[in-house]
Order: sequence, then structure tokens, then C-alpha cells
Amino acid sequence: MRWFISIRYLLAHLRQSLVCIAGVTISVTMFIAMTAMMNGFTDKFIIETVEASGHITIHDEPRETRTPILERAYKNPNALLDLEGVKPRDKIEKIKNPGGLLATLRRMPGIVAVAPQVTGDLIATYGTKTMTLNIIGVEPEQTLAVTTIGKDIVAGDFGRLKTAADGVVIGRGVSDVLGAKIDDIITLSSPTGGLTTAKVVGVFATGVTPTDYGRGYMMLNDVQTLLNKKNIINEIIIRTDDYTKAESYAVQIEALAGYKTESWQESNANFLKIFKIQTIITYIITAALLVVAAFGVLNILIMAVLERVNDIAILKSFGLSRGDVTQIYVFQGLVIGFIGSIIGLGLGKLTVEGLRRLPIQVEGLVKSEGLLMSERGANYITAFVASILVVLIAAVYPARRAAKYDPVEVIRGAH
Amino acid sequence: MILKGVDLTIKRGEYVSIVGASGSGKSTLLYLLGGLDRPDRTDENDRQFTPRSAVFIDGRNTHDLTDAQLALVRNEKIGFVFQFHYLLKEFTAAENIALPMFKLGRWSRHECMKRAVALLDRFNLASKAKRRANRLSGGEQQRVAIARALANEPAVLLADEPTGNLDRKNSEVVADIFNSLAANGQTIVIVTHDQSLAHRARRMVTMEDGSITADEALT
Repeated sequence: MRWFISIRYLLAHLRQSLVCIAGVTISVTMFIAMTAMMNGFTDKFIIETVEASGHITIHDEPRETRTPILERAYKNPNALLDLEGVKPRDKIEKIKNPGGLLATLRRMPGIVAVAPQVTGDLIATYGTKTMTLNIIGVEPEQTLAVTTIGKDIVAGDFGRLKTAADGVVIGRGVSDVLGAKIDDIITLSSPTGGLTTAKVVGVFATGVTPTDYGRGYMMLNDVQTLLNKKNIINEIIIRTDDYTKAESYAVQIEALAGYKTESWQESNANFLKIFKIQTIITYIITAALLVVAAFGVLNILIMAVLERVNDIAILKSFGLSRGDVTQIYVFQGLVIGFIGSIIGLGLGKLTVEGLRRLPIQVEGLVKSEGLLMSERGANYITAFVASILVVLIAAVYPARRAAKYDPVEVIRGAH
Repeated sequence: MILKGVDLTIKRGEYVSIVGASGSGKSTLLYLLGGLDRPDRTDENDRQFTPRSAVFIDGRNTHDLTDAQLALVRNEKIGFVFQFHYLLKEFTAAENIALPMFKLGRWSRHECMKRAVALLDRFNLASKAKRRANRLSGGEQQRVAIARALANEPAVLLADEPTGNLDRKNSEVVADIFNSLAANGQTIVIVTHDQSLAHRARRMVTMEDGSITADEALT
């Protein structure tokens, strides 16, 4: 009976009811589409970053930095002593006994593969074009086991590093900027004075712009020579069985190795923070839309109460309780919320599919063909539950107001 | 409104009219009898007190019932008719009559609708069963309202100025309906200014200033 009355009342104001439903629909659709877009973008970035650079990286720097000598000698900060021209100690940065550490890591549970590497910055020159290159010296088989750089190769072959003398694999961005194509010879010079020519044997494209525009790979010993770091390993990259657990593995490994060990989350904390802010903004925007929709529901229900005061009195006179009247109005809100969010979920899904097929070239932090969409069941559930809940809250006030009318006062007032 | 020393018993099958000037308390008495209103439990300074008055409906003291329980009593035992017909305009004539039956839950939906149409038929309105309430004439609406009051076979039919908003012809029709209902044993209490309607009852209670001043049997 309560549903019967609710539905009939809603139908009596079909146009307003449809507007309310549309309000809920729009907010749910927006939420679904926006979260799918954000997630698509975030997922792509994470996967590509993680897979191209390893889940965990051990660096050659000890976690704690050495305090300057004066501060160690004189604890009193007001001491009238000053030492000028203090420069960082000229220490050779390296991971000691990398072979032993690698062997230990390989035996650790949860670790799938490890690869040693030496990194440094070089100037790459091709003709008149110059750019800095973050060069990574690798053992190709080991690096291919840790990262997916092998499948990101768009020209040439990662394996050719081994066969070609002084071969280098560069990112697509680097190749574009320099204008150096496959088999072109580029010049590489290091700040420490090393200089060599190298042949481009491969070009990779991970889709993550900072990587594609700044990274190159060479053989480990070539880089060691070039950077004047003979026999030095300054990084170890690690692949785990589950990249989401990288943080806890990193803590264990750091305790074991004694070197700064970064999970991908730590290495990309800045980006992850941006993603988090994006997510928050998405939630705020859709919440605002939902609140507007809720006000629509509040409005239509208050109207429905005010113009049905006589109905409420008569319903009570023939036996409906306060609870019954409350429910009649809450049900109206529920129907609006339910229909609105169901349509919203459907439209959201369609929007996601539509955007996915949109032929747009995206090139920002991440480069891709078309918009990246990543849907999560949880987002659909959140949208559904949140919209029903908000509309329900909006319905409570008018419903309680309706239930409060004293039939005697209403009937006497009409006399 | 204050009622003073009112002691009124209405027996099964009686047809009673309550008359009196405006403000004499007759409507208040009617709403109290029907459990639509209840004696105040706070005085003018909002202090709690226990009213010494009590209303018994079909032998049951309503003093300690919760609002929800009292609503159920109204649903099952009482049929109200008001001066303004108060039909739900989005519903058809038959649906208006069926709503109290839906609430009672004694019959299936289908049976409720069949009973509603049968009630309409008693008042020569069967052809209007599927018509929206707001598309009926004033006299028709009041007849539908009476049919609705009878929907759950109430112990008593309470009417507050049932002809107050009707022309002479329709007032006659309504008065005839009450007469024939009373003849069939339906207990009826009518509050009215309409002397001719009041005199059709078999007992007339006169109120003045919150008290009953006369209670006479009519022949």
C-alpha cells in the first residue's frame, strides 16, 4: 500500500520526478566516467613505471648522511668556529660485494628476479642536437627478467646490446629529440671525462614520458668505463611476485642490505601524491553534483508534502500511522535514487566504452592512443550506494515533516 | 477546546446526531470518540498530567495505546466522513475505497478492489469506479468518501458535517444513505448544523460550551 501510494504520487509529478532522476543519473555517470579515466591513467603510469624500472631499487647510498665534521666535533651550535669551503667527501659510491648481495636476494622468498646496474648521467650528442641522458648499464638477460623493457622496444632489439660493440638502446623521446634513428651513431660524454660513440641498436617506448625522454641502456661494462666506475654496481633492481607488496619487501631488503632501498611507491611518491589529489578532486566534484541532486529531491518532496496536507490527514484518519506516512515519502526518495543510479550506472558504462574508443592522442605524463579507461567494480558499488544514501538522507526531512501533521488541525483548518 | 463532564455511551446500532453551536465542542468530541484526537497529556504550561478522561472504542480503553496502535484501531473500527470529501485525487474512486482495506490487510489486493466496486455499486457509482477522484462531482465525491469510511466494516461511522458542503439535493441523497445504513444496523454518529439531518437520527445530543446539555431520543 505504501509503495502503491508512493509510486502514484511520483507519477503525479512525472516531470519533476524525471528531473530529479536525471540529477542522480548525471552524478553517477560522471563519477563512473571520471574514476575510470583517473584509474586508467594511474594504472598505466604505475604499470609502465613499475614494469620498466623494477619493483624495488637498491641504491648505493647509505640511508643516513654523514654530518659535517664541525658539528660532530663541537656539539654547541653557538661555538665561534667556522670552516669554509667544505666539499662533499670524495668517496666512491658503490654497493659493496654486489655478487654476495645478489645471491642472497635471489634466495629470498617473494623475489622473482634481480639485476645489477650502474647508472649515471651523460650528454648525448647527435649532429648539433644535445641532451642529457640517464644511462643505465645493464646485463641484458638479467634486466629483461626484472623489467618488461623488452616488450616496449619499438625498433631494433634489446638483445643486440650484447652483440653490437658500444650499442645503446634509447627512449623514443630521446630518439625524436636527437633525430637519431636505429643504427645511427651518437656521441656520449660523461661529466668525468669519458667519451665514446655508440650505435643506436634499439628504441623503446614505455608510454611514461619522463622515461621515454630521458633514459638509455648500454652494456654494464661500457657504462662502467664511460663513467669511470670500474667494477662498480650502484643499483640493484628487483622484481617481486606482487608489486603491491613492494613496500614491505623493500623494508626487509633494506634491513638486510644496509643500503637505501626504494619501492616503486617511494621512488614515485610525487606522482602518486598527484594521483591521490586527482582522486580526491573527482570525489569532491561528484559529491557536489550528488548534493545538488539531493536538493532536487528535497525540493520535490517538500512540495509533495505541502500540497498533500489534506491527503496526509485523511490517510491518518483511516488508519495510517506516522511510520506509514514517513515511509510513503522515503519510498519516493528511494525510487528516485534507485532509478537514477541504475540508469547512471548504465550510462556510465556506455560513457566509459565511448571514451575508450575516442581516437585521441594523449601525451602528457603518459602517452597513449585513446583515453585509458580502467573500471573497478568497487566504483560502481560506491556510486550506487552513495547516491541511494544521499537521496535517502534528503528524503528523511520531508518525510518526517509529513508524518508530523496532526490530522485534527488540518481538518479543522479547512473548516 | 475543553470538554467538561462529558459522559456519552453509544451502543451498537444506534444512530446519533450531535448538535450545538460552533465552538460547543461537538467536533472535538467526535474526533476523541474516533481516536483521531486524544485528551491532552500536558497542561497549558507544558506540565505532564494524566487526564482523568478515557475513551473506549468497541469496549477497549484507548488511553494507553501508542499512536501506531491507535491508528490501527481507527483503521479497523472507525469510518470517518468529513465536510470536505478529502479523496486522494491521483487515485480512482475504487482505489480510494480500497486504500483502508490495503492497510488492514484482511483481504487480497484483488478482493479489496472487488469489494470497493461492490461498495460503489451500493451507492449507484459502479460506473465511476475507474474514474479519477478529482473528475467526480461534489455529491459523487462525498458518496465515495462514505463508501471509503465503510470499507473495513467499521464498528462506527463518524461523520463531521457530512452535508456541510453539499447542495440540497445531494444533502438529501447523503441523508438517505445514512438512514438506510442505520436501518441495516450500522452504528452512526453525526455532528451537524443541519437540523433536518440531525432530526433524522434516532437520538440527538445537544452540546453547549463543552458540556452535554440535552440527550433525547427522537421518534
